[in-house]
Amino acid sequence: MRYAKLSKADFPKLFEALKGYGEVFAPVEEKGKVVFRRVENLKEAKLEYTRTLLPPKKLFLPPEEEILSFEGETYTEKLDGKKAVLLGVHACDINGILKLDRVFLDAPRDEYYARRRENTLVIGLTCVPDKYCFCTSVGSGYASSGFDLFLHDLGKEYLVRIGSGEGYRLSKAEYFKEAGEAEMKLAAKLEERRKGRIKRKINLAGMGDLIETEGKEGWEELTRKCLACGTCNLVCPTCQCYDVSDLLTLDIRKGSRVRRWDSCMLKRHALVAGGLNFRPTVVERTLNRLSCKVGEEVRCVGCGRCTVYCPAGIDFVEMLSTIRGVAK
Amino acid sequence: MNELLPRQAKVLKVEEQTPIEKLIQLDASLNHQPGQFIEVSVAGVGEAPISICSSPTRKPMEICVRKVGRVTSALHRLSPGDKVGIRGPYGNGFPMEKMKGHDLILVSGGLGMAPLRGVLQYALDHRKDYKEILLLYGIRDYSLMLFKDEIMKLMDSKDCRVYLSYEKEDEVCKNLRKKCPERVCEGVVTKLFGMVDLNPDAYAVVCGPPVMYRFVFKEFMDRNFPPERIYMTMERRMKCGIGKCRHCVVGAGTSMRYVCKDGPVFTGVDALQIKGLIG
Repeated sequence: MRYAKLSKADFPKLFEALKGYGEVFAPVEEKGKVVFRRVENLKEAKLEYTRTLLPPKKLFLPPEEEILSFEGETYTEKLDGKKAVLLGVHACDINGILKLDRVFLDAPRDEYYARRRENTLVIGLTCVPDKYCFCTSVGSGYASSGFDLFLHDLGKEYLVRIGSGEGYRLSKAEYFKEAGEAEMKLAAKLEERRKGRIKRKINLAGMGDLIETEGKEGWEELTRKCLACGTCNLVCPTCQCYDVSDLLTLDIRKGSRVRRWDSCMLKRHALVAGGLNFRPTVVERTLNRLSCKVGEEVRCVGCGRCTVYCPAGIDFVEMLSTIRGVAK
Repeated sequence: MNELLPRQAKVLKVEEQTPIEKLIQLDASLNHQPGQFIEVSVAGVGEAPISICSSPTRKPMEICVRKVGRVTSALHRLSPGDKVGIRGPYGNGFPMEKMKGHDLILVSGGLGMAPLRGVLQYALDHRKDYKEILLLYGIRDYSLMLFKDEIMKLMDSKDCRVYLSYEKEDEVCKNLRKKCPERVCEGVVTKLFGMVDLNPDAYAVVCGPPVMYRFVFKEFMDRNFPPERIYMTMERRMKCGIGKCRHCVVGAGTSMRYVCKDGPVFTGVDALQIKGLIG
């Protein structure tokens, strides 16, 4: 890894350079929530924040996008070549992007996701954890890759880790200075302090087996409050499910094929034509969701969104602790 | 290459198989494996996964479509000369090479005959490479039998031993049973297991409605048939066909698979390990 430092006073200069690259999306406070939104000015961004409502995956896999247009039976692809910058992404969310990369960039790769990923710079930033964060238990409290630059807040300046060729080119600007031992040691100390503030712990050893063997009564109790609304999926940085539908113009000659985020908690997720539903109840759907997140592999990045935004107040960590039999 | 972009295929022929199923010939050559599927698009209606029901040794490629939803209803409205969009082939298919030198036991119920027809055609076209070929086919009644001419011809041939079960007796079925009582009976497909000797060295190839698998699997297990020699092809909701949209995911805990990418063909060992795979 290469390192540099950037004075906070010079951050607007970096911001201008980023704007020169493409549209900049940054965390912005809106109606009490923080969301990634396009910004023109660094002042609009809220750089010290805990978590955005939606994870940054929306830049690579939009909630809704037209993938094809058609006229008759001739299909034309709608690929986007727009350059963009995602500024202020936390380690958990960068790790979430890396997990989605494995889905959408593995062969056969998803061209829509791949193009956006290639055309988007990711500028990481140290986070402000709260009591719902548990990234340190799922190995995503630190981002080793998946960014172009990562900024560690040292108070008056940032220690910058350089993670790509594009990041290296940016760091050659005159306002980037060489980072020395003092900044490195301070960054390590602050990183340790930040991790110490993440009190929430989850033990995932053998979790897949426990999920698989949990009894029927246990599942019914666990899912009793669940509204099957799918909010947990929509706010999850690693949920990948999407649905596809065709939309027609009124003359029914032309149209577009559109894909949208889908949710495995919704009743029709596993419904096939003819009416057979392979996951008809909320119990089966929750079993599937938990298996997907922490069963076969750890796809959860510990951001806490599913717990924070669950309208029924279901706590993801508590649910897994109950399955383990260690809940308070 | 954009995997989600369909290419055009011309409809060559549309043939009614049963009141709810049509055989559609497409001008396409995909070099597929029996058991693989394609995503078929009707612009403005959508896309649906349909298994290829012909062997790669036979041209043109054919799909057998049951009218059950919006896309399949649109496919039923096609005429020769019309165009559809196709992507694929997807999925693993049946291991035709690996099964060479062994008996084949094909077990199918209803529309499950469609993907197995590709296996059957392939084996008949490489007849020397396989030993005995047994087909156990369960239908509701004769009107719903798929590939009638082909199956009836096979019943009289030495290349393949056909066993037939039907749930509702009609004239044709009654006559068949009278003519050949050791191979035709009334009941569901599992009843046919009482009529055959299972060679433990054989490979089983199974396809039918989702409810059928656990009963067929039990018949094999009750006879100590090795689970690793059973190949079953599964139906699930498959939207993308390439392991991205995750609708078709099966299993729980540590064993999860995509039916579209890791399947649709799974073994009996998978059935033992993947929760809910065969119900």
